[in-house]
Amino acid sequence: MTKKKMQPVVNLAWCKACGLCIAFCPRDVFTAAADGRPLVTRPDACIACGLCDYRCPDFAITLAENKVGV
Amino acid sequence: MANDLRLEEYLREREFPTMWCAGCGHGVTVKGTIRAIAKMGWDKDDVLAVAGIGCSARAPAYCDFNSIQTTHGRAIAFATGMKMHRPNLHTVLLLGDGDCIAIGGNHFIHGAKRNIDLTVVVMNNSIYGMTGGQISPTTPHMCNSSTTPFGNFEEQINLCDIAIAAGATYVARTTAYHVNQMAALIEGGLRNKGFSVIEVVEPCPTGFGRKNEFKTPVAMYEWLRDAAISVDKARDLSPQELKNKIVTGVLHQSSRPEFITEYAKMSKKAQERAKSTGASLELMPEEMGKFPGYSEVRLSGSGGQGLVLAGIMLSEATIKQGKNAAHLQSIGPEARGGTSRSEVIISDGEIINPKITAPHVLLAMTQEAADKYCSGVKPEGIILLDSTFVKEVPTAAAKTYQYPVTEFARDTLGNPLVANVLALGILARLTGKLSVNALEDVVRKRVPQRVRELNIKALWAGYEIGKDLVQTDA
Ligand SMILES: Cc1ncc(C[n+]2csc(CCOP(=O)(O)OP(=O)(O)O)c2C)c(N)n1
Ligand code: SF4
Repeated sequence: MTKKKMQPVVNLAWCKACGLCIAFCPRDVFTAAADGRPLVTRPDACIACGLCDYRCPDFAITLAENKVGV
Repeated sequence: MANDLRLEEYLREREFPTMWCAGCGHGVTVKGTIRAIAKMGWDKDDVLAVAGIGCSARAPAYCDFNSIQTTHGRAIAFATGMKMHRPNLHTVLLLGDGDCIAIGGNHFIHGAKRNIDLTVVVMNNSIYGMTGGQISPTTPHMCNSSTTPFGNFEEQINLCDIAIAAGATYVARTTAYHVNQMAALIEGGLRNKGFSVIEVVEPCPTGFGRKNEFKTPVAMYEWLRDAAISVDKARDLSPQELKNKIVTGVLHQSSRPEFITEYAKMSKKAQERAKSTGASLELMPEEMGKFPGYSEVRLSGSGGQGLVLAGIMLSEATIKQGKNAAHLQSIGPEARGGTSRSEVIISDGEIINPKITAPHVLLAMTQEAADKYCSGVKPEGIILLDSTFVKEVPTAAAKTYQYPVTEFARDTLGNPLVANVLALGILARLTGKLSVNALEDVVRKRVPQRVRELNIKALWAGYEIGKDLVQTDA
């Protein structure tokens, strides 16, 4: 059974650039853009722990299948 | 697992983005609550989310459950009423610390005391967020706020300890940093059949963080991460060592009778008692049939005429007959002489709303009350006017009877104060709704010894007067 590879997807319309996902991601998947919002710069490093999603106060992060990195 | 949960199904997406500041912990706690509810596998429509007032109070608006925002501090009181009426609704409260333990402190204590099956998630951000960062009872010692610029010299309240002391059966604490623990602890509260409190210590970056040298929201979450200590580890530490720590985990769990279950038992017992004492005496056959099933009664006049008591006695007599009753009273600002109104619903079935719309029966004991209420009575209804005071009979579609109730009470019975019971006797006959025997039982119980016999005499005199009125009418 092959496990699906997941990665975070950010809904920029809801994001308020609090920086929590960037600061607390255990694998440094995100880097901050100039406006402080997260860019998903290391999608392949994601271990799908879901912490960015759970900690995002704005419901702006979900995990979705990483289509490229399969 | 992160991906099992389809969070968007639980959200009212049209309400987003949220009104909360960047990094505000309220969103994190809402998410933890949704995760816990999802884990329970409950249908969204079987969940009720209740809030009070504050930034926190927006929480239910973002979730697609049944939801209600109530008044500041009163969410537990509202939720108690709703839960009593719909015991099957899983009822979750999302309360700010100010809402819960400052203005709402007494409701909190009594909710815990009753052990009513509610799950209270306290979004404790150490501050009154919405109104501009004033101290709350939960503000830590010597922290700054907009009202304590030199530091809060008061000690902070421990709301979990209060919940435990008052009798809550599940009490836990976590922080907005510890998201997985949060979801698990809230789930524990949902599983507990009784009063559950989950305190989530949260950041308010705007109202608290900026005044307390937290430069960013991230710094606040680091504080929560570092200050938290599990309840197991905390056991070995002295109070001194625990200062500035946040003790997390399940702090208390116990089992004792739950309020709604106990209430149902007592209600059954009361109904059986009413039957066995013969309180549910048969109505006379010719009296059956008026307003079957459901009727609304308004007793109106002025303060001091005993209408509130009359409403209570009418309700109790109704219940004694095995029916349901709801009673609302409204007294004008003046204790005596102001307008007074007492409203009773008599129903064979469940009463959904205690407020009456158009009464079937009206008693008016002042001109003012008659002028105000006669026209609102249902056309097939009955009006009884105390002609001692009502000199001009307002036009009304309903059948209107007049009798000098107060005058008869004063001159023939010797005490104007029994006019209320006299009127009940008349109404019992006019409406055929009530057994006088049931009323007699209630009067016997309700009025003081020295006027008891006089009141019973008045009740039966009223019943006879009612007979005459009906006969004259025929
Ligand atoms: C009866 C009443 N008193 C005072 C207020 C003003 N008021 C609005 S929100 C609030 C405090 C909210 O603080 P908290 O419950 O901690 O929630 P937060 O805003 O921090 O989420 C107060 C005092 C009110 N709305 N109603
Ligand atoms: S003021 Fe505080 S509690 Fe209110 S939304 Fe902002 S961060 Fe949240």
